[in-house]
Amino acid sequence: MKPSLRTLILFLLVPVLFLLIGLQAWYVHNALERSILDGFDRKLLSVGSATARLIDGDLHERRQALPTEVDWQGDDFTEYFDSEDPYFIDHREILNELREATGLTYLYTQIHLGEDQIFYFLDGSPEEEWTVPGTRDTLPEGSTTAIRDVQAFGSSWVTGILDWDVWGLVKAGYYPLRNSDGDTVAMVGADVNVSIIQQKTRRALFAILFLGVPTLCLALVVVFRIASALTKPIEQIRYAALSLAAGTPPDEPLKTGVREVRQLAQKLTLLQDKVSRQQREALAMEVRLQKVRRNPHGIGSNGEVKKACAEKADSSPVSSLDPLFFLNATPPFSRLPAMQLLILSQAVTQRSYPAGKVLCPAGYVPEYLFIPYKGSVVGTEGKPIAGFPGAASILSGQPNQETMETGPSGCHLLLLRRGKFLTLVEERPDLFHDLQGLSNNPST
Amino acid sequence: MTLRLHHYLAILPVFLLLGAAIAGLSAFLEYQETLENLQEEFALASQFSNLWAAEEKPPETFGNYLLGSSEERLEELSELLWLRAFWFVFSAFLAGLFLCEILVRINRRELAVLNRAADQLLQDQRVELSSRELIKEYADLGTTFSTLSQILQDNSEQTRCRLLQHEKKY
Repeated sequence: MKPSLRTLILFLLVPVLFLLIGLQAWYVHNALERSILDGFDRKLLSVGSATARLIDGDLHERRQALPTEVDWQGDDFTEYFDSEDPYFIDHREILNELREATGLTYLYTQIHLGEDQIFYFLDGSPEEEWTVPGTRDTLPEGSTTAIRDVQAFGSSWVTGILDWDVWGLVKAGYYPLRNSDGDTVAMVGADVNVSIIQQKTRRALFAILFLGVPTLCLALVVVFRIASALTKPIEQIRYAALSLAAGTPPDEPLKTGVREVRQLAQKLTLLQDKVSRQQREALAMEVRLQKVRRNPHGIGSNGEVKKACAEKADSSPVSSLDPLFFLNATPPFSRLPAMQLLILSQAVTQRSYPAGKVLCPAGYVPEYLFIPYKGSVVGTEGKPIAGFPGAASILSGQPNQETMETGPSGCHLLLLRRGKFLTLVEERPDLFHDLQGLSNNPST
Repeated sequence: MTLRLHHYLAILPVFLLLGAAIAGLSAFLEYQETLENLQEEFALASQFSNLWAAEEKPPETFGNYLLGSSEERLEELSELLWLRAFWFVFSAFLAGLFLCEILVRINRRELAVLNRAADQLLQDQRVELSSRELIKEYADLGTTFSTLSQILQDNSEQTRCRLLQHEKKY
């Protein structure tokens, strides 16, 4: 089943629109994600640096010190610190306030033990989620280098997205906590949960994709407009053609659309005119024939028709002559049945030649049978050739004895190809005798 | 108006509008995001201002991360967003142009077949269309032309036969 124009446009337009929206939304999503991550990077580092200034590095260093008999293989160092100590409680409140104010997920200090091991010291989480001092943790992959750099060189660092077993997906910023000598004694950690980042980027993505809805509506309007502009004139042309086929040419002129459709409409208008003209001609022909039949003093219907056709040839372009009626009025063709005569009339070609035009030089078999209906064909000495010039030569297969050319007033001829003429003769041998007779007897 | 111009006028504005809308929305979102970041950073700076009041100056890093670069960041962002808007609109324009050309080619090809059929009708030739037309409306018109051609030829022959038969009887 062929798709309609609307469907085709819709099938082409909508995917292109959605592809465009999809690609641009993807690009915008990435750009926004970069922008959001950049914002978080700045925030993590700035909060980290500010928090590091809030905390007394020397005091932190003294407090974080582990006793020499510490069990390094143990799970936690919590037993070495008093979590009820006002130092931890005060810092918990301050850091928690700061964390909440800045919208971060975690804010804490940590000490690197070597390899991928750390322990937390100060934590700014709410009381129920608070990580007690000395809690050990294993760093996830991707953060070990960052921790080493911060601890060893005192540089700040923002990690990518880290997958912690306990804390989930977070992005972390680390800032060195220095003592009064400038040595890094611990590091401030500020984390943000990835879900906060994802929530922001998702919101942006939905905003872009939401554009798809009005765009789709707009696309439908466009499809309707384009399709209507093309299909309406096409439908009009079709109805006009159907009306023409039904024999009732439409009165209303075809409304025009785009140039290409307008050209088509103009051709159909020409066709309408042509059909009307043909109808008028057929009617005129019928009237003329009736007039000829009614003439009681005429020399015979065939003669009258021939005369009428010759008069028409004088006044009209050659193509307007109907060879059918001329042949019908011309023996021996007039003896052919209607359908054969119709076929013969379609096989002949009408030609008009000026005076002195050579139709067939001497010594050649003519390519055509010449049926003159106005003017004459003459031989070498200017003597008119009666009947159908070329018939004798074609039938006998012998070359022409003399050059055939048009008479002094020019000539209107019907030309029948040699092959077609011979086929006709084969089908109707009785014509052969008649034509032989006509050709051999110039007075006929 | 030509078919191409008609398609351009109908389709290209939609694509240009879409490109501009996405560019505008993305610019709005990103600008808003940056402004929010800056506002947060300013709020953060003011929160810590008491802390710096007792100090000689805020830590260098803090200044770098926050206040020092805000104007530059906005300028850079503005340039970036204009450039992006241009590319978005341009890519939308190209996509629209591509689609227009495809539609123009399809429609022109189909209309050319129909125009040839109309020429054949005018020259009294029998219209024979292949079934290669893609679109229903054009295929229907093609079929109508074929039918019309057949009817006109039959009518013409019948009229001539009728006249001739009368003549024969006469």
